[in-house]
Amino acid sequence: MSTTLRTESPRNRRSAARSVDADQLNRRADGTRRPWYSSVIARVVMVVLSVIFLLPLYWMVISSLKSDEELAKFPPTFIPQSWQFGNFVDAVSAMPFLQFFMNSAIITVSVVIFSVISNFVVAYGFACLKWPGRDLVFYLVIATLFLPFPVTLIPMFDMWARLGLVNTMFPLIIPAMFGSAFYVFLLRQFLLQIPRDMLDAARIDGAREWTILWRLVFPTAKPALTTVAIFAAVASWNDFMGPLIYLQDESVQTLSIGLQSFRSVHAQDVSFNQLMAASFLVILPLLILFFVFQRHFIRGITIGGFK
Amino acid sequence: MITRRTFLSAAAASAAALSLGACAPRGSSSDTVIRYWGMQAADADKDLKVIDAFNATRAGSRITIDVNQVPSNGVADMSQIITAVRGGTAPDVWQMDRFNAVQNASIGLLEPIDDLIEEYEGVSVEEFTSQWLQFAVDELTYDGRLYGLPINTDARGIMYNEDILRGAGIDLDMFDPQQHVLTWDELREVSRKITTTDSRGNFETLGFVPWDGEGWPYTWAFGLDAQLYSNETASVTLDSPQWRAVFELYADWAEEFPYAKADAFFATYQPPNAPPSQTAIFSERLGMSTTGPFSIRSNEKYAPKLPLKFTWLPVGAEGDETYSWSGGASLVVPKGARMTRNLWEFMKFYTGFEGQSIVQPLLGDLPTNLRTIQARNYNPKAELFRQMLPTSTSRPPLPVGSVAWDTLQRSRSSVIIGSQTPQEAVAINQLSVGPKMALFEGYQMPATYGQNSVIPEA
Amino acid sequence: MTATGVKARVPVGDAPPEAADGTAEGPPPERGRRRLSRTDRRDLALGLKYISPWIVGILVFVVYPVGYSIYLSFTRYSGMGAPTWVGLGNYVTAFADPLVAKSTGNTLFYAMIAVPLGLVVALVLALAMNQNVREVAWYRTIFYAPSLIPAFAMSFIFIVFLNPQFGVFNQVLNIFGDGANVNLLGDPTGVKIAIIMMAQLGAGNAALIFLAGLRNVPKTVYEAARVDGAGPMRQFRSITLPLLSPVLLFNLITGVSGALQVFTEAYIVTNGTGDPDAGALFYMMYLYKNAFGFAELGYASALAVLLFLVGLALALLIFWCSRRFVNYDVEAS
Repeated sequence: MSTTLRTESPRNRRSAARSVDADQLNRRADGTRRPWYSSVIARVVMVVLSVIFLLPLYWMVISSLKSDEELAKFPPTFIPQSWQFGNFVDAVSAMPFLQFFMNSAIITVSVVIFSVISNFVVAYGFACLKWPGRDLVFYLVIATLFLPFPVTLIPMFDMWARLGLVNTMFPLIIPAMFGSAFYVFLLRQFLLQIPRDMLDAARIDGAREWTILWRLVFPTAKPALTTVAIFAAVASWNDFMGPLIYLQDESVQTLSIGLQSFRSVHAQDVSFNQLMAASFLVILPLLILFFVFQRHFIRGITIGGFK
Repeated sequence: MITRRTFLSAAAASAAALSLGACAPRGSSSDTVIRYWGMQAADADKDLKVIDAFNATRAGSRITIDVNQVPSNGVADMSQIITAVRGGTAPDVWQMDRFNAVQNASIGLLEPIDDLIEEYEGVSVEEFTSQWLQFAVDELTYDGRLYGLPINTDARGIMYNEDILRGAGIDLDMFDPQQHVLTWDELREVSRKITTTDSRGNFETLGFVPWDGEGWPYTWAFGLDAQLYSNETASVTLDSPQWRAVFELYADWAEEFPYAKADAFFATYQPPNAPPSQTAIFSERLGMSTTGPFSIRSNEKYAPKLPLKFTWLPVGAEGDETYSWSGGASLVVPKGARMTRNLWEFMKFYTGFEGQSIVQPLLGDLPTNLRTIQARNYNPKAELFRQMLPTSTSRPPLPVGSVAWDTLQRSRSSVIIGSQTPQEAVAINQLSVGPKMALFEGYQMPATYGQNSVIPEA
Repeated sequence: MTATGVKARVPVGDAPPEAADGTAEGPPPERGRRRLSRTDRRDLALGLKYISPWIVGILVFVVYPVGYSIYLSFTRYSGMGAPTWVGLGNYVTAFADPLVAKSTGNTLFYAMIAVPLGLVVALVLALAMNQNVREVAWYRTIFYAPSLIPAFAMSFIFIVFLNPQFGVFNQVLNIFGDGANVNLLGDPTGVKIAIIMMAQLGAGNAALIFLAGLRNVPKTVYEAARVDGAGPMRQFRSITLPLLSPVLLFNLITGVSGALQVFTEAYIVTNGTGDPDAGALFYMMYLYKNAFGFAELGYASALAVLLFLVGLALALLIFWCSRRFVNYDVEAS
């Protein structure tokens, strides 16, 4: 593949990729228009899939808007007869919502930042550098994917307790600084696809590894790094087991704990509509963030893009 | 790009700052602060009412109760408390299901409270605990020591829908708890009359099945005199003929009301994890269900117009003694807590007459404190369940309680599906629980366990 | 370079051939204890420097807990007090425990269906998320949304689908059957199938990884293929799949790891019981129950060690097989 096809520098590659995406609509790469029905078929398929995947969210929202009596209706109604927005007010006032929200946000933002940086650096070590024994060590990374969480629960807690850090957010944040098998593996798979000669060329030009890492590889790995950021955010925001055992004081508890409190009341008497309202409010920030950040799934590697 | 980077570093900095702030050491060095893991969040207001009343007393005025509502992770899940006790971050007092008391005491998770009683009350433990229902105290007793004080309790009975029964031409006097105690044969006959099937063979309405609701193996075991453990032989007796009778009862009903059909019926009208308002009883499809006083609150909330009433659990033959079983919560002291007079005052107040008189009417179930029962400080609609207490008891206080419960429940599922015969089921139960209990050689349950309780009349 | 060259996967440029295969590189260091050359040592130092966060992490967060668990697996331990040494007792018990056999069977059943199915569903979603349409942001968000919903809320909606009378599932079933209502969750095999179907709604996670992989396929490769007259199916087979193989390997291994440790969905759908008839009692559920329900931490640790060994063996097997199908060389076109 020659370098003549596309010659943007990494810096303006993003905007170029976006404009390519936009004007590729209904247009083939060679410039001829697609037949009109091909986009219709694609849309029909996607709308059908969308309906299936929207149902859980839809059900959550309408359940949160129903009255107690309507929730008991059989068969269940698909559109609430009266819209009980008060359920949202009740859900928010049933727990220190703002405080829990802030706590969740602090933990999540920290975890995302640390995860992206630490896993990226470690994955670079496994994918872009060559050193003796690298792949054997990598098998160790894979091995840790198969560790069942219940057995690590107690020794980990003992350790944090000895450090006096129970009831702080540190046990939930600090591990993110050291990389995790899942993300390292994920990023490695992408970084291995970066053309070798591109890195070598930079090295011959005298670039230091640290510079190559951030200037050359980081922009290229953006789709994969976005994936890591999204996963880390969702896992941290929805994490239940960690906060449950490490955060006992309400001053540091998170939204997922608040949600659980709704559920574990006398099983006979859960305010289901409020539970669904609270659940929706909890995932709403994630939904919005995802919508905003999904555009970073741009073209990663552009062959010939590096000179 | 620059703005985003600035934003991210600012966010990181503030995150670090805030998490540092959260790292302040626990302010619990003073013994006027008592750390308490309370009821679940939704009942936090009821907890606070008791605490306010305690703070208004002379003993409680200088004490601060630092209450946290730590949600549980499910039935019999000890992950939080085990980690907390090991890490020295457990509360001073914890509200816990009494069912877990003996197991938790046996693994060293709880502090015995006998010394507190002797030191601050100057009476024997036996004399002091005579203020509460005997079976509730037994459930908190392990190896002759007391590990907590009981709060609330309940009992199991049959809930029925008068409209459905009347519609099937059934004499409602039979269900009047003041006139009659149903026999299993009568219940079966009534269930037959109520049950209707549509053209495709599905149940449209169902009378009763013994595995619905609170129809646990223990529920019927108490009526059939099936005991899990024998103090005389110090061994598990899960393969006794009485236990076989419990599973034969399930198999027998599953033959007339086939599992698959009944299961489809329940999955239709009260699917698992559905809102508590969506039950076969509320949708007027199910005539009778096994339940307890905890249903009263949701009945009033979700189906205030339905004529739902309660009666006794069915007995084998006319004139047999009634039976039931009762659970409930307790206050216990996790291992390593500071055993102070202030802690004791709080426990005593919360579980005593004043505390129970405040919290029981709000919760809707029954007190364990005898004076509170005598003063009728509970929901009057739970009166029938109060009448069940003399012949009720707790589940057997054994250090293998969770395994036993789990095993019995699984066997029930296997028997009603038909993958195991009652004989096979009891053999498996004995094999699953027996060896675990054998590790507690010569274990003795409290001598009073299983005896009728004396309840003072108002 | 032509589109047909993609299939040949011939590395071009001056990248050494083994660079294309991350798993088969360099002689293992322990072989023959030969002295490392100076370059080797420099490379090793640099490599270790980069992975140092992970080394610290594994020492603190993995080695210690794992060592501790292995020790506990030879003891009887409640979580409190001192462990009692029982030697191989827990392992002997585990091999005779009918519930270990049952939960292992359930877990393998789950893995054999859920892993391949999950890959297909995720790939389909990823292709949909990769369409060049203006509203693609909405599709991506919608397909990912179920992965954000807490599992308990998910199980509620899914159970509505499965309602024996009104649910979509039974309406379809009734077309073939005798019309009797069936509760999938009430059957020991059905409940596993239901949990597998429910897990597919969470395919957004794996789909996102595929999507990132698809975005890694340079457009120019397709353009060249089209110029060569390759149709959509041909392009998918000869370009998309080979170039997705690294992420396919990732999704396969993490899929197996997830399936062997399936827990949350089953725990919630069955309210922690694993019933009917222990049909949904998965290995991890039984392990967790032993650890924190029955306070049998020693036994749970033994179960964990066994699971770890089986998982690791499977992962290495997949890795070994993967040398044949995984292609890291994007430029081989």
